[in-house]
Amino acid sequence: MSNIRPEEVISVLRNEILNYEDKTAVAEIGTVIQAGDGIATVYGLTRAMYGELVTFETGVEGIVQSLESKTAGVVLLGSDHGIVEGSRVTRSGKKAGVPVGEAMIGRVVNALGEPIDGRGPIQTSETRPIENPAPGVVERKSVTVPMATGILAIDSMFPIGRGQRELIIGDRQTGKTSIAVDTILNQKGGDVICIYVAIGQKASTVAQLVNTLQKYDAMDYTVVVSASASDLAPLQYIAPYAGTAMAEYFMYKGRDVLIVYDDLSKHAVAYRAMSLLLKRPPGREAYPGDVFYLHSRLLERSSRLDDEHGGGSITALPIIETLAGDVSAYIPTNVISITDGQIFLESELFFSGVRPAVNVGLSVSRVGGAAQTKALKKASGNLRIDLAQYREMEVFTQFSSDLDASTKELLDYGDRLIEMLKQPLSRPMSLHDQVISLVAATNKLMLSVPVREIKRFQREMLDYMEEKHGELVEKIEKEKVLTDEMIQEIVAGVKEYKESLELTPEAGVPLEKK
Amino acid sequence: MIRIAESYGKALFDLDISPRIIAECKALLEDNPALAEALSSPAVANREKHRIIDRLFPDEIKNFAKVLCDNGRMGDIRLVEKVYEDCRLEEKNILQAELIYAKKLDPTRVEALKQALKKKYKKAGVKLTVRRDPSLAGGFILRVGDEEYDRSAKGRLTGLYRKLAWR
Repeated sequence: MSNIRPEEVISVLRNEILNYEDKTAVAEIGTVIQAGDGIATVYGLTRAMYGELVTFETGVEGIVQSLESKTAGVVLLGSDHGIVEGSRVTRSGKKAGVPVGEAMIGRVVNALGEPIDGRGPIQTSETRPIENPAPGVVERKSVTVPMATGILAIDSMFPIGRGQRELIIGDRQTGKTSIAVDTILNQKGGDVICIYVAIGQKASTVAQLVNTLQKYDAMDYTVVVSASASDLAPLQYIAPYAGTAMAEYFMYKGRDVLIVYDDLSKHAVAYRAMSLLLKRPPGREAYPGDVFYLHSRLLERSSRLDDEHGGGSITALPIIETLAGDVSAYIPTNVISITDGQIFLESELFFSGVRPAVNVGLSVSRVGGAAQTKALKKASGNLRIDLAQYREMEVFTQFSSDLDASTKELLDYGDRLIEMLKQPLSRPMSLHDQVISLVAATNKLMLSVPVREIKRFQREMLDYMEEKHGELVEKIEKEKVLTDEMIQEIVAGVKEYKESLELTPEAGVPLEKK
Repeated sequence: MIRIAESYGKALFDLDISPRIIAECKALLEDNPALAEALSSPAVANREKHRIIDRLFPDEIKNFAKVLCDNGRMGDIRLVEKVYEDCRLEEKNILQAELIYAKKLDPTRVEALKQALKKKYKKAGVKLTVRRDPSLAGGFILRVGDEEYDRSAKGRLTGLYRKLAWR
């Protein structure tokens, strides 16, 4: 995989040696008086700043996390092997930072920006501090440009805009990462840079994810930052900030960035471990007192800048794992109050086959229609209300034979809507597919299709529309608006397709007589 | 550890005991390791320790030594003594520095170095401890408080290594 030739290596080394500048400067040093559990107490370093990077004798780096009158508490960003009492620690004079730049795209790096994909060093010219103040009120612009996820259930009812923070929250194994990954896959061909930050995940999971991204050519515009479960707590702690620093590089250059934090629950746990070792007093659930600030300062850095500052944006998709669906636990409530909405995934829905398992009632996007493509906004119409009505009536499905016609129709319609909103993994839907599906559904054109054939019907209908009504499809994609004539055209097209099915029932989905 | 030693060291300094007596005690403990061990051992009763102190130590320092023993801090006596030294030198406005050299020492250069340090740190005098470390392979390292001037060959080689092996 590596395309570095030996001659290149030798010439680079020769250059480095010849141009080596002997820096005859003063180093400020301290002495380790206690080391262990990833924390070192250093005597001296009287002029060290909070959050400054320091280097130990063994080459390992650390960040100053507590300052007392004569000592400083330093969290190690590497193994404490070889660090003994009396070891020297040198100040670097700069705040902890990570390398940033275009060269990071397509690479898998650790929390310090070092490559871990075995494809050689990353040549960047800039570093950004991992802690950076969020853009102020005056520098921002309201969110109006959509960030298409390609997932019908989300784009229609909980649209996400560029610059928004939308939380993906649910129990384990409910498809949270899948939603994030599908969103990344959907950015193919667009101008959005994606950054996926894996915090405390299994290395095998991250490897699988990178494989998926590579398979769909998503690595061409994605950076993966990984602080896996075996990495030290301080590395897991800084990983999301490092990812955000990389995103900010692009944002301040006017680009749009999508950043996924998977997941912030593990981030809070790593921060708790680090704080307890630094002897900070534990609060609720043993989390330190500033665990809210931990996430708020991270997520506030995701914003949309106004034109004066380049017009770039960072859209954040933090992921939180709940236990037994308890969204009123400490960390989930903290993050819910910080983000601009949440997508709530339920295990029950997941196991009953509704995937993505989005709970339509509890999920919300506080930016909503302002950041939705006009076409999609019109097409989705009253989708949420229809589904709400369905949910109210759902309990009566047990008595389906004893219901009046309008209720029965409502239930049939709702069943088909839900079936249509299901979507397989790694299959993001394009705008025109979404619009046509919604128009077909909301105009009750699918009522004669048996529920279990809905997905097949949808696929074949979309293929038919692309083939026979190509100009309409193009018009939707180009203009992104839906006029009433266009709706009529779509309805006519779908009816045409249904007629063709009736004529040749073996060719497609057998329609019910309704 | 070091914080406790600081409290005791400062206290000792505040007692205003003659440096000659302090030096005497230091010598006493250094020449008789068995004594130091006995005084810091938890197996020996405090009463016993007090009796020993009464018999061997000069009057002015008896109480200080007894307090140290009672609190079980006799083991840190070296650190305490160091802090005391630091206080004394600070009072006299003398800078403490450490010079580690590799091959050999040129006395005129060392003197010039002391003068330069005196000027830079604006002190009345410089107490320079000198130590030889062949592993430096050349040059020297000068340590003043928190600051370190690394002019050794080993330091340069380490720097070069770090730069080449970066990432």
